[in-house]
Amino acid sequence: MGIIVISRGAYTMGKEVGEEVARRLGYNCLSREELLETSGEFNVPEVRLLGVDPPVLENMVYWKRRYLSFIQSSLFRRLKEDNVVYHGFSGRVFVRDFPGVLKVRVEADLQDRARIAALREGVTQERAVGMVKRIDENRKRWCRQLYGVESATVVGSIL
Amino acid sequence: MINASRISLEGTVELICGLARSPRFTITSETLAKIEALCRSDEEVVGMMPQGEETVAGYFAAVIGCMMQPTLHRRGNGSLSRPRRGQVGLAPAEGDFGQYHGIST
Repeated sequence: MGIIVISRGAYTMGKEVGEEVARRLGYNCLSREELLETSGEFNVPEVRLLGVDPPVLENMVYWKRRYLSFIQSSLFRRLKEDNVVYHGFSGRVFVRDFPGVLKVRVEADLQDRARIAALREGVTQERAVGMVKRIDENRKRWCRQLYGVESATVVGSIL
Repeated sequence: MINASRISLEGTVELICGLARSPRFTITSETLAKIEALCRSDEEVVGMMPQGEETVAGYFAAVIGCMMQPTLHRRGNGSLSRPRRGQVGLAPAEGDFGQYHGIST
């Protein structure tokens, strides 16, 4: 049985890492975006989710509960298929109590991430730094609000 | 957690694949600290593999390789490498790799 869950920060090349790991191991590759593709109301781009103000989310208890149930059950259904690499924002949250799952968080230094962001979004390096910082801040709040954990909680070693 | 700024994309992929292939893969914090210290130095490092321990060698090479790139001089899995002048050798220590306790270094 092989399940690898890669939790990635924005602009860290985590997506590329996940896809390449899946290719090399011959595993199925699944991203958060694919998971939500057919979900209708939950198919919200991460960027938009991150723009939601947590106090507003707090008032969306019902939505939150349904979102979590949906993503969790969809993910588990796919993980049961075995030999899967899942990559996405906070993926490890859903499998934190699962033994036998390789949980990896891919991070990178701010300047490197900003360089990637600047290239992808066509903005200056300076603007990209601000953008990445804002995304991180939003992710932290989103993670705390939705999952009750810190987004960059480190478990295990840093390599 | 893997810091992709310190390890190349290729190295990151290799490390995750190495970890995935062996559920018994563990490495002591002492060895990690040693590797990290070497990463900060200018020394060229050779991963030293105990002869005949191909599996161990592979995983250890993956860890060292990921952290040391591009200075790693890899000799191939399972071969015993000896550092040349100007290089530092690093071998697995007792406690690394789970069931492989007592590896002679």
